[in-house]
Amino acid sequence: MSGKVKPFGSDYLRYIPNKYLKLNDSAPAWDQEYIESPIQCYLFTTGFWQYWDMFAPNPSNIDFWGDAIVHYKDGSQKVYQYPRIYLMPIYEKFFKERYRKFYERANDSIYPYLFKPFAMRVALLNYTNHSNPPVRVDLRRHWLKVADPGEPQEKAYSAYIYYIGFIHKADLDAMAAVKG
Amino acid sequence: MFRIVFGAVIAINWLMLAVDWDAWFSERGYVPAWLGSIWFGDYTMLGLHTGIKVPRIDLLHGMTDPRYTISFYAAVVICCILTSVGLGTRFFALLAAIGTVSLQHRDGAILHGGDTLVRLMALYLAITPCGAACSLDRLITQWRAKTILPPAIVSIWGQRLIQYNLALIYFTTIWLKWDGNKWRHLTATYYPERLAEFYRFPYPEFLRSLWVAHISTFGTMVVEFSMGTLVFYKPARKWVLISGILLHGYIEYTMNIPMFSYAMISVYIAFYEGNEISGFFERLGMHLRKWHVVLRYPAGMRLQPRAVGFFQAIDPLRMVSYLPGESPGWSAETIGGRKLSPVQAILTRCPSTLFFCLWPKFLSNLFNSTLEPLPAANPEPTLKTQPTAAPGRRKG
Repeated sequence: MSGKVKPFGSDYLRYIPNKYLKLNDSAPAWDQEYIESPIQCYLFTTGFWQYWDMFAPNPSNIDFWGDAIVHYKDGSQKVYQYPRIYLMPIYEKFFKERYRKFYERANDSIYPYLFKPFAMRVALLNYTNHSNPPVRVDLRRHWLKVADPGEPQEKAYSAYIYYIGFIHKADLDAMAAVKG
Repeated sequence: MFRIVFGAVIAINWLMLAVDWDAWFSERGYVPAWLGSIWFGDYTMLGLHTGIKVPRIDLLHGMTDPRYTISFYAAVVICCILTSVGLGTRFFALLAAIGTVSLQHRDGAILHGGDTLVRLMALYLAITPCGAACSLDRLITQWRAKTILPPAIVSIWGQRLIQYNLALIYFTTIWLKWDGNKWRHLTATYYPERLAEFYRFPYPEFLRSLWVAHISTFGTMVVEFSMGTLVFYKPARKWVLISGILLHGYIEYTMNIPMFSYAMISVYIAFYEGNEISGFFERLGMHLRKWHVVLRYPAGMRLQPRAVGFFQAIDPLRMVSYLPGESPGWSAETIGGRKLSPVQAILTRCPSTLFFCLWPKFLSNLFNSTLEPLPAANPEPTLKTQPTAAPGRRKG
């Protein structure tokens, strides 16, 4: 959030099948991936790009949701529940599905560039006392594997902290100053 | 017809984001502008890096001022609505497409398959003559003409492109699914319905059983394969599309993937040509003959030719007949003889006039401007609207 653009990438062109992309393994940063075909260039430029894999090749069998542990300057902690579709009333689910889609990417290690802004947003949402700002946000994933047919189903979700973000008050104040 | 429905789908899709605008498109959100601005590396030719960044359509590139982004968003929604009603269609459809692409390029982290479809169809609407029929543009053109305009004949290529793209979606999907062991073992649908984050409406427990999973997995594969292939075989088309609607209806009910099924089903309209769709509405109107009305215009007057064309255009169900009256003003009655106001008769029979509900006086004035004195030499003018014959292909 310092204003410097790091070589992170946007995730959505990950959709494109690898066979159509020239990926440079030695430089995995997103902006080091190169497009070779003029057709690809045309598709990406105009917005005609597309990729379809609805529940393919296999549907996901992992149920997951997220929360965050917010650490404050005075040492106290709070668990922030990231919007979870399962807990919402039906009408709200319809409007809030983007949260699930975003979290599907923002908990995945192949999209690490989403972690820091995610942690900053969580910190901002929990920045209620200016004298006691969040200083650290731990992003936590909860997951449960759906058992195969005929096998016993686990009930308890596993949990894992996949990112620890340290928060600077100056960055937080800058975010808070932006009018939404 | 496709334009009306899909333009509305795009507008609704964007409007649904308004409730969480701050989260997704502001500098306070999960995806600030700098994150959305990163793009590919160089464009590479013959293995050599050109040093040229791949450009892309993104009018929100690096834009952090919420006044601009919110205004842009509102403008895109308005353009989608204008595209849907068909006013200034070529221009606003182009703006809606550019706006949709820009918004999606601004924040790609929240996109699902329905969004990709929305973007593609917005682009197709922009490059097709989709305002040539069923649009306010068409009504205005008809009103300005001195005669009854024939149905617009336009290139069918744009519509074919939409059909092929939808078939490609299904075919690609089934192609990829063939690599999945859960699909080949007919257990694939067993898993998504156990993902709590997708739960939506309640349904009977037996639908979660393994044998139902076998049936629904097999059915899904058959339907998707058919949508990619058999849908182009005209005798099978209707049944393939109905099976597709059932598939998406099941997904829509059981899984929380908003707008995806609506968007997919909306595109099915493109598999029918304009004359098929107008024929469908005329047949539907015949089933509703109980509610047909006769509108009588003032004695000694007749409808101008442009008015005949105009009234035909606003009445796809052919539920209103126009006949000479004997009184000095307009009157309307149902087939059963019940009297009602002419404005009410039009508003309730012609769906495309619902916009005028906000301005009923406009319709009253319109009625009076459709008339011309009956010439003495021609006591029997053509007064009743006739169903439009459509020898050529028309856009739906």
